[in-house]
Amino acid sequence: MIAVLGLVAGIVLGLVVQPTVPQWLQPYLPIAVVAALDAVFGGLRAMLDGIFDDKVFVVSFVANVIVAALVVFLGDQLGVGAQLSTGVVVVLGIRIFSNAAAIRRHLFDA
Amino acid sequence: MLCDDGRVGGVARGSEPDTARGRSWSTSLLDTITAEGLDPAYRVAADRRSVGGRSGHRRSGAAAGAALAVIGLLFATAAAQVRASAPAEARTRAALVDRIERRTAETDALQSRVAGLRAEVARARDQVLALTAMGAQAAENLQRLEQAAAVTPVEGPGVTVTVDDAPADEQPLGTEPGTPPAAELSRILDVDLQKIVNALWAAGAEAVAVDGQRLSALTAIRSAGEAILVDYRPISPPYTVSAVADPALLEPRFVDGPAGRELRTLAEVYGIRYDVTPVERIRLPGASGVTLRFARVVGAGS
Repeated sequence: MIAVLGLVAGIVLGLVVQPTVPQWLQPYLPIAVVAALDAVFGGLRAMLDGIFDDKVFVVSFVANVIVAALVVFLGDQLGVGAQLSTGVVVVLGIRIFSNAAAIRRHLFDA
Repeated sequence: MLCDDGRVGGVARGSEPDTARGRSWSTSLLDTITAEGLDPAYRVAADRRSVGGRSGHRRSGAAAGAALAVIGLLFATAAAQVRASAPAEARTRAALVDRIERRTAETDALQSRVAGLRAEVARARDQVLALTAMGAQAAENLQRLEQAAAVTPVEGPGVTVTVDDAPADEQPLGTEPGTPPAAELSRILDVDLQKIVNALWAAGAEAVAVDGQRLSALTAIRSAGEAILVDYRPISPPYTVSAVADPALLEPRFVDGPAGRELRTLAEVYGIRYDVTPVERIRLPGASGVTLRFARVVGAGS
């Protein structure tokens, strides 16, 4: 319950305050969003499996975002930024879909 | 392949389930990615807790709530940013379109000014030439040459030849192997237009125009890819070839001549449509883009 309230509060705060993202951080915003989505879906599946642990959730979220941003940053420095970014999005997308499939099986027994 | 009971490495190999570290790396990359969709740390933490005797899961603590608040903030910021940049892109595009339109209008204005200035120069020239006898002679020569060079517009009775590609549903009869595909043969080519124009000249036309483009001695009818260019301007079917001449003489000479026979053959074999019509009054414009290349002072060695 607290989790859902936290999510809603975060969204509302973001829409109201509308923080301006600094210029150097803007390229990493999309990748952070995808990494956050992966952590959220992973946490949702764990909750439905009955093994949710909030410490693991926080660590997985933070680690996902940092690693994804690091990979993209490294790629930008080496000149393969677009390709690495695509690779990160593809892998995270596959994980999101497999977690979503498990969640669907839990919810609809289908 | 996907096991949703938390077991990692879900391909049934008959061996006992093992942790991520012990799994053989011969499993394919996709298996790895999909099987590890659920962070194995969840299973490890749950096992550790159940070993310690507590309940199997520890639901939403404060830390998870805080992390979710941060995630919500992240989503909202990203969404707001996308909405903020969209009007900027639309504005840029609108600005570019506006610039294109303004420059096109400027070019059109300049071109009409050029035409006006040319007419003014011609008028002034005629005025000056009319002042002396030698000038009048030169003016007469100039008029003759301009007519021959197709600079001046021509008006009079004439003939219009309209040709068009074969309709899409008509197939040409019996194409032999080794010839180009049917679609190419049922299109009008530049050589067809050249033959028609040549036949009109040979039949006694005084002036010829293709699709409103007056043909001068320097005008080329050529093809570029699939389009036909007249004087480097592309034209599209149906093509209208107009000629100023006496229709009573021109039409029979054209129709009975080689070009007329060729058109009939093309119509029979490839389904090309054509039409030869006499017209009471045609006005053909002067050839555009005529540049003055050669001039000599009147009276000096003429």
